[in-house]
Amino acid sequence: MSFHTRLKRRAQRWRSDDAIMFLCGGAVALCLLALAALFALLVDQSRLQFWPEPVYQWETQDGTRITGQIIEESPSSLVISVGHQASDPNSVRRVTRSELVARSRPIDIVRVEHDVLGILYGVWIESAEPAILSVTPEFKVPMQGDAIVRWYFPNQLTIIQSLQIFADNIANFLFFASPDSPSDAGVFPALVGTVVMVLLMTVFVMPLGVLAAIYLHEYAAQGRLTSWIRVAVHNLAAIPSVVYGVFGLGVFVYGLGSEIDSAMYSDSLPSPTFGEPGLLWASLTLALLTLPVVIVATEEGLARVPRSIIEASYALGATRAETLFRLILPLIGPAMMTGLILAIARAAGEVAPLMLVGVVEFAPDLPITTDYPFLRLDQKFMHLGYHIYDLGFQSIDMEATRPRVFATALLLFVIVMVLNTLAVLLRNRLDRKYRHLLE
Amino acid sequence: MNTQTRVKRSRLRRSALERTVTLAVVTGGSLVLLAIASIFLFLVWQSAPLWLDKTDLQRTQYHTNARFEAPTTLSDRQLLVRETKAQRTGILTFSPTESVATWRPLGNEVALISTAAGDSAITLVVHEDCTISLYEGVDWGAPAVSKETPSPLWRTVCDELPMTAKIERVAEGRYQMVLRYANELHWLEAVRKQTPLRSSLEISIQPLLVVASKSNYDQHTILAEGRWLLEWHQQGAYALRSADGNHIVEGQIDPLLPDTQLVRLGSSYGLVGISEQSQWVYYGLDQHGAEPALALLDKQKLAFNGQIMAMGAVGRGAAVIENSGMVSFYDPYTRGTERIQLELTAEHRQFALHGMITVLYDDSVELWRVENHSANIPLLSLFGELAYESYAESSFTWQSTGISPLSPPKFSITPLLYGTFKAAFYTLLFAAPMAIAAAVFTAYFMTASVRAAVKPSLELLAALPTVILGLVAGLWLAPWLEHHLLHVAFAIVLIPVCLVAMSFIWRLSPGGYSESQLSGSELILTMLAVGGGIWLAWLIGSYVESSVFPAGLVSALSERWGISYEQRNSIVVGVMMGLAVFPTIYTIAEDALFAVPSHLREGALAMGATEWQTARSIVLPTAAPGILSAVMMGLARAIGETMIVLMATGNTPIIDGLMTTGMRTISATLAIEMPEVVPNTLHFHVLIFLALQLFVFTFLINTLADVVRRRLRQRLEHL
Repeated sequence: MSFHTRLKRRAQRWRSDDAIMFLCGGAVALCLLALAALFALLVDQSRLQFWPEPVYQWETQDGTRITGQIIEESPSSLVISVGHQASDPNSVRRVTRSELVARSRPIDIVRVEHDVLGILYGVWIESAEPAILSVTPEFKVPMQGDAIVRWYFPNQLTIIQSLQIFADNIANFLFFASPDSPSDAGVFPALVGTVVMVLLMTVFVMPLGVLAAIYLHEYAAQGRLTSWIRVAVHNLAAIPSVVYGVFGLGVFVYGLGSEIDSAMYSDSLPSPTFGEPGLLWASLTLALLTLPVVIVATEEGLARVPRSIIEASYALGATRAETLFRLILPLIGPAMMTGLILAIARAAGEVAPLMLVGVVEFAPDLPITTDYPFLRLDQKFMHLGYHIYDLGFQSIDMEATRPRVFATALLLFVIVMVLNTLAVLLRNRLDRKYRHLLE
Repeated sequence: MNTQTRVKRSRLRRSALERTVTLAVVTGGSLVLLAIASIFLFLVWQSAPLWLDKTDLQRTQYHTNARFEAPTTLSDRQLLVRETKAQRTGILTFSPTESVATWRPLGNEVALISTAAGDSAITLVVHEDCTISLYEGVDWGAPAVSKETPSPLWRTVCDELPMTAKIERVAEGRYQMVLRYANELHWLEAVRKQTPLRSSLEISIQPLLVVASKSNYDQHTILAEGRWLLEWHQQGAYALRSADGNHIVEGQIDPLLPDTQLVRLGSSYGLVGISEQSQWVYYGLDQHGAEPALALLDKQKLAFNGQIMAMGAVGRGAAVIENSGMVSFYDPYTRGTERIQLELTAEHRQFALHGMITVLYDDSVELWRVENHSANIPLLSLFGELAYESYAESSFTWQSTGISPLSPPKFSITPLLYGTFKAAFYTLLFAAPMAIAAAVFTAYFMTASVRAAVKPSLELLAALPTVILGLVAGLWLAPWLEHHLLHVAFAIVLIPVCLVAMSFIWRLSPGGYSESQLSGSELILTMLAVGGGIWLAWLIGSYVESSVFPAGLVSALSERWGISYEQRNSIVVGVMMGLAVFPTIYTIAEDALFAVPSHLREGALAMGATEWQTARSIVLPTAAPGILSAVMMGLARAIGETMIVLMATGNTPIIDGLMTTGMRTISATLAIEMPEVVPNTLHFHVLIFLALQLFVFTFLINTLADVVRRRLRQRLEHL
C-alpha cells in the first residue's frame, strides 16, 4: 500500500466526532493556558519590583534625554520610571514611541536608592568628595553616606550580583515596614494584618464549625429537617461574600460594637472604640463566612469514617462522648485540617466583606504589639487583598506603584495556591487512610 | 476503696461527661445554625423600614407668659409673634436649657422680618419708618445675646414700605433679598466679605435687578442657587426672571389650593405645592429647553378632611397641618406621603410650619422637630422610571448622593439589577460553553491518570482570589483589549478552526486510535492547536488592522458605526469573571457527566453508535439536569461576585445591553457605598434591601440547583 493510499484511508476515518472531541479539548487547553498565562503575567508585571532591570537612555526628538527603567511597554508607547527629577514631581513618564529617536544602555549609569528623594538615576562625578551624583547636567545631588540606602551599576551586574539584589529586594518587599505611607516600601504591614486577622478568625471558626458539623452528623436526628439544614449550610457557602460584610457591619459593628462601647468604653464616647470597623469584627465576619467551608469539610470527613468502627466502639461500652473524643476526632483530624486550610485560603483572598468591616488602605500601627494585651482588637488593619485594590485602583501614582501591586498579587496568588494544594494533598492522604481502614 | 465504688464513680464521671458533651454539642451546633439563619433575619429586619417606617417627631414644650398670635418661624430657636393684648410684635426665643420662652417686643416699628437660617444666619428687618436693615445672626433680639438692639450690618432708607420682604441663603456666604413694592420689584444680593476676625463682619450689597412688577404675581422665591427668581400667583401663572435681567419666561402650572403655597426645597431646584385637585405636586426647574420652565416631576394624592391651617417646608420635604393636628408630609426623596396625628394639648391654637412644626397655645408653645425621616418608600420609586430635578427626561437613575448635599438622591435600583444580570449574562456566555465542553472532555475522553492531574488543577482556579483577577482585568486586560480587539475577534473564529484542522491531522498521523481510550497526547495536540490559532489570529489581526482600520478598531467602532467603547467593559468582565465562574460550572458538570453509568455508554457504543452519537443521545440527556444545576450555580456565583466587577468596570449605573460598555452591579454598589453610609437612613435601608435581594437570589438559585442535582442522583441510582 502506498503512503498516499494509507493517508487517504486514514483521512476517511475522520468523523465529526473527532472535531467535537478536539473542540472540547480546546476548552480544557484554553483554561489551562489561561491559568499559566495569568501566573506568567503576574511574574512579568512584578519583575521590576524584584529583578535589577537594565537602565536605558533614550534620545527624544526635541533633543532631551530620558534615563530610566521600563515599567510598561505597548506597541505605541512606553511607561518609564525616571526616578526623582528636579523639575518634575512625577517619577513616571509616559512617552509615545514616535517621540523617541535612539536608545542606548550606558555602562556607567548608577541607580541610587536615596533616603529622602527615592530612586535616582545618574552618573558619579569623578573625584568628588563627598560623592556627587549628576542626574542631569543641571541637577546634581551630593551624597551623604547615610542618605544612600543602596546603590549599584545596573548595566554592569553579573548574574551573582543580580541574584543578590533580587534576594535583597524580596526580603525588603516582605519584611520592611515603612511607617509613612502605603505606597512606599513593602507589604509587611499588610502581610501581618492578613495573618493576624486570619489566625484570629481560625480561633473562632474552628471550634464552632467542628461543633456544628458533629452536631449535624452525629447528634441531630437524621430527618428531613436536618437534611434541609444541611442544604442550607452548603448553600451559604455560595452566598456572596459582600452580603456577609453587610451583616458584619450591621450586626457586629453597629449592633454589638456600640453595645460594648456604651457598656465598657462610655468615657470615650461619642468617639467609638468597638463601634467602628476593626480587627475583631473583621475576623468574626470572616469566621461566619468560612463557617460553611469548615462544616462541609468536617462533615465530609465524618461521612468517610466507617460506621463499623463507631459501632464497634459503642458495642464495647463506650459512651457517645468517649467515642467522639477517642475515636472520631482523631480520625477526622486530617479532614478538619483540610477545612482549616480551605478556610484560611478563602479568608486570605477575600476582600469585599473586609472593605466594610475593618480594613483600611493604610494603618500606621500593626495590630499586634509587644505590650499587653498584645492584640489590638479594635484597631483597623491592612490586608494584602485590599492593598492590591487600593494601590491598583485608588492611588494617585498608579503607574509608579504598578510593579508593587502586581508583586503583591503574586504573593497572594502563591500563598493561596500553596494553601489549596496543601488541602488537596491532605484530602488525598485522608482518602488513602480510610481505604486502608475499610479493607 | 473497693472496686464497686470505683466503678460507680467512674460511671458517674462518664455519664456526667456524656451529658456535658451532648449539651455543649447540641447548644453549640444549634447556635451556629441560628447565627447563620440570623443573616437572613437581619437583612429582612433592616429592609423592613422601607415599608414600615414612620417619621419620628420630637416634641419640646415651652411656657409663655402672655397670649400670642400670628406666629412666623424665624429659625429653630425663634418665633416672630404678636402679643394679643397689646398688639405688639416681638420675638419668642427658646433656649434648650429653660422651659419658659423669653419674650422680647420689637416695638411697633418693625413691619416685616425674614431670616436666612444656616451656619451664619442673617435677618432682614423692615422698620415702620421705612428703614431696611440686615442684622447678624438668628438670635437677633434675644435678650441673652444683647440688651440693646445690635447695630445693623447694613442699612438703607426706602421711599415706601415694601409689601413683602424675603431673604434667602443661596450659597456659602451669599444671600439674596427680594423686596416687592406696589409697582417695583427689587432683587438684591448680599455677599459676606471674608474678614480675618469674625467680629468684624462686613457685607456688601449689589442690586441685581430692579423691575416694574406686575401686580398679579404676589409670591416669589429664588431658584437655582440665585440664578432665577420665580414669581407666581395662586392661579398657577408664574414668571421666571434671570439675574441679569435679560430673560423673563412666563408659564402656567396647575392652580394651587387656597391657603397653600409653593414650598422651595433645600436643593433650590425643586418646589412642592398642592394643586386644586388636592394633590401634592412636585415641580423641578427644567433648564434643558431653550427657556427654563417648571416641569411637573410627581403627583401624589393628598387626603385631608379638615381645614388646612399652614403649609411649609418641614425636614427635607413639605408638610401641611390641619386644624385637628393631622400633619401630611410629602417627601421628595422617596416620593412618598405620610400622615401623622399630633397629640395636641389644648383647643385654641395656631400653627407655623418652617423647618419644624410650631403650635402656639394660649400659654405655651410646642415645637415638633423631625427627629428621623421615614425610610418608607413606594415600590414605584424603588424600581420605576422617575422624573428628577434638573434632568431632561424621566429615567431609571441610581445616584445615592445628590450633586449637592441638599438635592434629593435617586434610588431607582433597576439599573443595578440590570447591571448585575448583564454582568452575569456575559460571564455565562463565555464560561458556560467553555466549562461544559471542558467537562465533557474531562469526563468522557480523558484517561484516568490525565483526569486525575487536570481536574484538580482546573479546580484550583476556584480558589484564586478574585481581587487578583480583578486587578489583571482592570490594569492589564482592559487596556490591552482596547488595542487588540480585532485580534481577539479573529482568535474566537480561528481557534475552533485550528482545532478542527488539528483533529484531521491527528487522524492522518500514524497509529490506530480507538475513540474510548485516548492517551494524554491529545491534550497536547489541542494545546498546540489553540496556540496555533492564537498565533494565526495575531498575524491576520495585525494585517487587517493595519490595512482596514489604520486608527484601530476601537476608534472605527465609534466613528463608523457609532458604538461607544469604554475601556472597562462587559467583555473584560465576561472573560475575567468567566474565569472565576468556570471552575464552579466545570466541577459540578463534570461530576454529573462522570456519574452517568458506564454501561449505558458501552451499550450504545456496542450497538454501533459513534462516540458523539452516544454522547449526544445518551450521556448528555442523562446528565442534563446536573449540567443545568452547574450553570445555575455559576449564575449564582456571577451574581454575587464583587471585586472583579468593581475593578473591571467603570461602575456607572446605566441601562444598556452593549458588550462594549460597563455596568454597575448590586455587589459593587454595596462595596462602594456601604462603608460610607450613615446607619438608619433611607440610603442605608435601601442598601440592606439590595443585600437581601442578593442573598435571596443566590440562595434560591443554589437551592434549586441542589434539588435538581439530588433528583439526578436518585435517578442515576435507579439506573
